[in-house]
Amino acid sequence: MVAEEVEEEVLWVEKYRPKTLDEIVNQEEVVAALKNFVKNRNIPNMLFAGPPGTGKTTAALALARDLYGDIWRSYTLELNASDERGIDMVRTRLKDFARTKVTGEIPYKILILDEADSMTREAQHALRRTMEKYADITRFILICNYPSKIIEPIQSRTAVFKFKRLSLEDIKGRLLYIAKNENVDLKEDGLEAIIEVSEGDLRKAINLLQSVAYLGIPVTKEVVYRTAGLVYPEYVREIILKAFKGDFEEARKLLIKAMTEEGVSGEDLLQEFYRELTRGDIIEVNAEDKIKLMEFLSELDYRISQGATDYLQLTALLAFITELGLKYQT
Amino acid sequence: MISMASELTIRRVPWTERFRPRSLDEVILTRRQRNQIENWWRMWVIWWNLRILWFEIFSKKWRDLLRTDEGKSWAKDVIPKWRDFFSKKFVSKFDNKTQETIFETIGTKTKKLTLNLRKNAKDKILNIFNEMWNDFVSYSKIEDRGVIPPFPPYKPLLLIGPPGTGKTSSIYALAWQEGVVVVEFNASDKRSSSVIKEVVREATLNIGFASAEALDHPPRIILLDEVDGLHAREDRGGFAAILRLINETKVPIAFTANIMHDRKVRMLMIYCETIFFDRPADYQIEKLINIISQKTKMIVPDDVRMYLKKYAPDFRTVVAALETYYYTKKLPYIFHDEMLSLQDAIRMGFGFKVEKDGKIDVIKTMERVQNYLTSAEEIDPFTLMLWVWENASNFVEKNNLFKFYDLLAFADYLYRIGSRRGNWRIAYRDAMNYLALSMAMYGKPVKNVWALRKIRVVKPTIIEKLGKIKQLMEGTGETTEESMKGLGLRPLLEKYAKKTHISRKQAWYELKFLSYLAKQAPEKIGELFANLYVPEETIKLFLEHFVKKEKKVHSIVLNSYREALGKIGPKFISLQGVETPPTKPTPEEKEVKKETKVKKEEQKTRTLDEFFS
Repeated sequence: MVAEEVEEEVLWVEKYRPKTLDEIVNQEEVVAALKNFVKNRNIPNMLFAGPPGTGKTTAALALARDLYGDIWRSYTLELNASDERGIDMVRTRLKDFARTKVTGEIPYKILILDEADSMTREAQHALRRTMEKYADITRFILICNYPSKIIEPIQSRTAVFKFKRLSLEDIKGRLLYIAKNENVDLKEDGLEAIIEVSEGDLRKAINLLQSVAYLGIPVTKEVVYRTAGLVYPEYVREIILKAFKGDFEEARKLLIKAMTEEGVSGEDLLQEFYRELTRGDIIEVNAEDKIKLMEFLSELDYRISQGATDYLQLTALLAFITELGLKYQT
Repeated sequence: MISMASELTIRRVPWTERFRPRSLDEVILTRRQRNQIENWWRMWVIWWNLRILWFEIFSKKWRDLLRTDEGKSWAKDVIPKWRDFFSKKFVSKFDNKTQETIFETIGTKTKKLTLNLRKNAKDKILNIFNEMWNDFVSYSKIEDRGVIPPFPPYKPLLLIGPPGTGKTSSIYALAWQEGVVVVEFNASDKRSSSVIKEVVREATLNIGFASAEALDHPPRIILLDEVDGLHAREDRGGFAAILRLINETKVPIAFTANIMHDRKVRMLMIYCETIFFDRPADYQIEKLINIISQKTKMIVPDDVRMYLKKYAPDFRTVVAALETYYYTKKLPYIFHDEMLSLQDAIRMGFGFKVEKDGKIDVIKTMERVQNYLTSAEEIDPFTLMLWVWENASNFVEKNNLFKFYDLLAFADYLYRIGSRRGNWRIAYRDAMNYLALSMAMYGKPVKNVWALRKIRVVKPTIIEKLGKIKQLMEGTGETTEESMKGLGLRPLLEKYAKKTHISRKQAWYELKFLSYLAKQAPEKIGELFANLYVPEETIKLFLEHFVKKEKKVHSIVLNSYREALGKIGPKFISLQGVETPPTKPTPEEKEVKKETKVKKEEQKTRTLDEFFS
């Protein structure tokens, strides 16, 4: 803990993470509500929902800091999706934390459950009882991307706050502020390129800015795009293009590489495919074919969710795109 | 009666034995293969004669020399050099032209060589041998003592190719023609180590060579069949023993192997004269049919010829099929189930079509495909699907790719859903039906099924690769006290995730960002890892996987990590649930620790002193 205070922050995402609610500039409505809770020293169980990189975790942490001051860490438990969160975990560790009483000005503590939408339904059901039972001594903040993946009983027990996608101006402002502080020569077109590539995800944008900045050269559009070659949508785009141009085997190899070397799960890849294919600027096909494509995508999504083998299913998608390509090239 | 009996006995010998070639002329070989074999044999004949000459002339002198200490030390120095020199020069000294002067040639135009020695061949051989020795003496500047040391053996022969393509037959034909004995060791039916021991004994025996008889030819060839099946897991020293054998043998050795991809076979190729055998070409099968039909006075109709050319995978099958045809007037079903390897099953599954009225009968074809697939090996539907998935693009036309993969993906879905719900009818029968259907409908039809065998069928590696990535992420779960490697990158992922308030999965994606930073600003990353208390083992793993070759980056990251860790002071690094030892503090760290302790003590004493004064 001591080291953390002394250390100069290496990661900009952490360094420039707003520490208090006041510092959060966007999401005005949500922040205003949260501030009121702090003022009254009482918070309900809450559900934060919104796209990635819009400040959900930041808001939860800032809230805790505002509420408890410097000792906030001993009043909060943060659990992530990848911390084991099966039903056993909910029944043991989470319950243990929830039922311990705390002394102090504020009689309850906060449990932040990040990425709650990746919890199993069974675990969510187990959580629901705990939430009710220890409501007096523990408050829950659930964070998720898709509120629809949270079971209804939990949704009804929480105050839902929707975080909207950050406005371009907000992202721009934040990036410029960081660039100025870190002495980065950020050019106008470079800034725009970062925003374009990171698609409204501030977290991604800051990470990208940092990796570009460390090159030690003026940040221009070209530099950003070259660096962003590592970024993941680009990779998916390349796979799609390869398939569309008829190089099916190459596309399949790239797909396997993404899964075996980068470790991307099939489900996530399919989401990326979905995003890239619906943007419509990669491959140009007529409406009818596009509908067919969407239909097939959702079919695959369903199959994968039912436990079908992801890479086998995704290969079929590549074959579909290859066939489309053949049709449009002749 | 007698003739009846003899006919019966002839009948009982399978044709594959009855028509085994008795000379190299009868073996169906390409010119290149034939030349290679003959040349190899000639070199051995020369070697053998040379050995006899050496015994006659030098062996006594050599033994006398070794009795003196001085001679011993001379020999110790010279032998390795001489062996090396001999191995290198032996082939070039006895090149084709020289061979002509040693062996009888028939017809000046074709210059076809027989394997019979000329009259004055021995003198010639001895001359060349002496010439070699003189070259060696002047080349390596050693003292010539008038004795030539013994020399190493010539190369063994390695025949690589599918079963039934004439590897073993070539050796037997050669032996038959030359009047030598073949001592065959079959690797597959004995424990490998004992096989090798026997071979070594046989190969280093001096029998038949000190005596006066059979001096013109080596008395035997050792044939070690199917070396790729040899020395599997049970015998690790097997291969080393073979290498020793190659260096010490006194008789020619021939190896055969089915596959070239085997690591040991590749090693053997370095030390051996290697000849490749392939699936027979049409004209070769035609030639074989002609030979047999002449010998048996059987008329083989054109459709039978066509069928054999189209479907027979090797010579042995052709002979066996003709035998059946001779006695029953019917051709057997060539593709015995047990003959199919998984690779062949997939090739056949894609390529074989049942035709009816010039059209492909999909249902019949599908049934056939299913037969192939299920008869190949004990294998579950999913593994089969993976094999098919991995190799499909070689067998499916591009414009059918989608239709094919769509069916395959559906088969996979059925299998998964079925096995998940315990409905084995869906998991096995229905999934297999769709798999077979996909291959039957969209596999490229081929005119010649034999040609399918040229298409490579590779093993799907995705499962292994996914396992590796999982291991890298999660670790194997087995951690020893000394090593964090068993944990994979988990310590790093967990600490980074905690630090940046994200999930471990998200952290995994961001490792790419970290690796990028590592290349741009390695010191910073080292510092960050130190602040996160990531164990050094884990960092090394991270660098190995994400930074790879840039060793400079590795060292900068690790140095700055150690430096930063020294500043913060070591802390016991433990992971939730897994107690792991801290990274060993480097000597400098220890010193830093000591220094701070000393400083503290100094401070203490000073204040106490002050207090008392």
